[in-house]
Amino acid sequence: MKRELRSAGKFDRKLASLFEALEGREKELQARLDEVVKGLLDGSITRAPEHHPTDDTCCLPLVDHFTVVFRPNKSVPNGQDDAGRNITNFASATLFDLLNIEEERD
Amino acid sequence: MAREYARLRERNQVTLPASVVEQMGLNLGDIVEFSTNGKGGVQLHPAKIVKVGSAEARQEESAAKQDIQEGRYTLIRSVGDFRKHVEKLRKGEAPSVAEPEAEHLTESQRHDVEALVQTMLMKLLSSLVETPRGSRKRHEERATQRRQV
Repeated sequence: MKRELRSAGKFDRKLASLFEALEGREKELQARLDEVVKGLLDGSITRAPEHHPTDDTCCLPLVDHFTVVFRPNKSVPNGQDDAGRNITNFASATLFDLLNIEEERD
Repeated sequence: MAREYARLRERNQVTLPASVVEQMGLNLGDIVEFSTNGKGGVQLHPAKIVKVGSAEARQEESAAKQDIQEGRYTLIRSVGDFRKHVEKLRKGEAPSVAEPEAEHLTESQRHDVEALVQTMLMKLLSSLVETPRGSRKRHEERATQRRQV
């Protein structure tokens, strides 16, 4: 199945800021980003914690407490994980919008 | 509106005027975001990674969705595409170039568009074929009228 990502302009600026903030750890950040992008494109990542239930967004951890927020074009609820977070299954999605990078609350 | 000026130095460096730094509430190590409006104007904002679920984060997500709706996005089809994209971002180059929306048509939408184009072409062709007949008929009618006169 052919899958694509759309990286929003806002996301791009956030990502550039994160590279600046993590100066000296660029390779680590790039490697993790590659993992996430590859996983979404080849379908090896099909589940993620729900971010906002009302707008079908999900999130995946990047590095430290930073998390990437994205929206698949197709998704279904898929129970909860051990931490009690709602999990979304987007195995049938073909388009993912990369929206934001946020920091987990303490 | 207060105006301040700064000179561009080597490696595109400028020093922000102290009054701007003060007004923006910036501190050493803070990151700033430049956003262009596409008309030669640039806006400067304090940039930070926002907390998950905060009102600010929600606003940023809305802005990102609007970016996508209005075509301000980069299409990524492979990890290689993404790496090139990140490289551009880090060099400060403008990466966001949307591809035509037609790229995102579903298979059924694509069939609908093809069928519509085919129908329109058929109509166009048949009108081209019918025109000489139509004009011949009109010509014959006019000739008949002339004969009657």
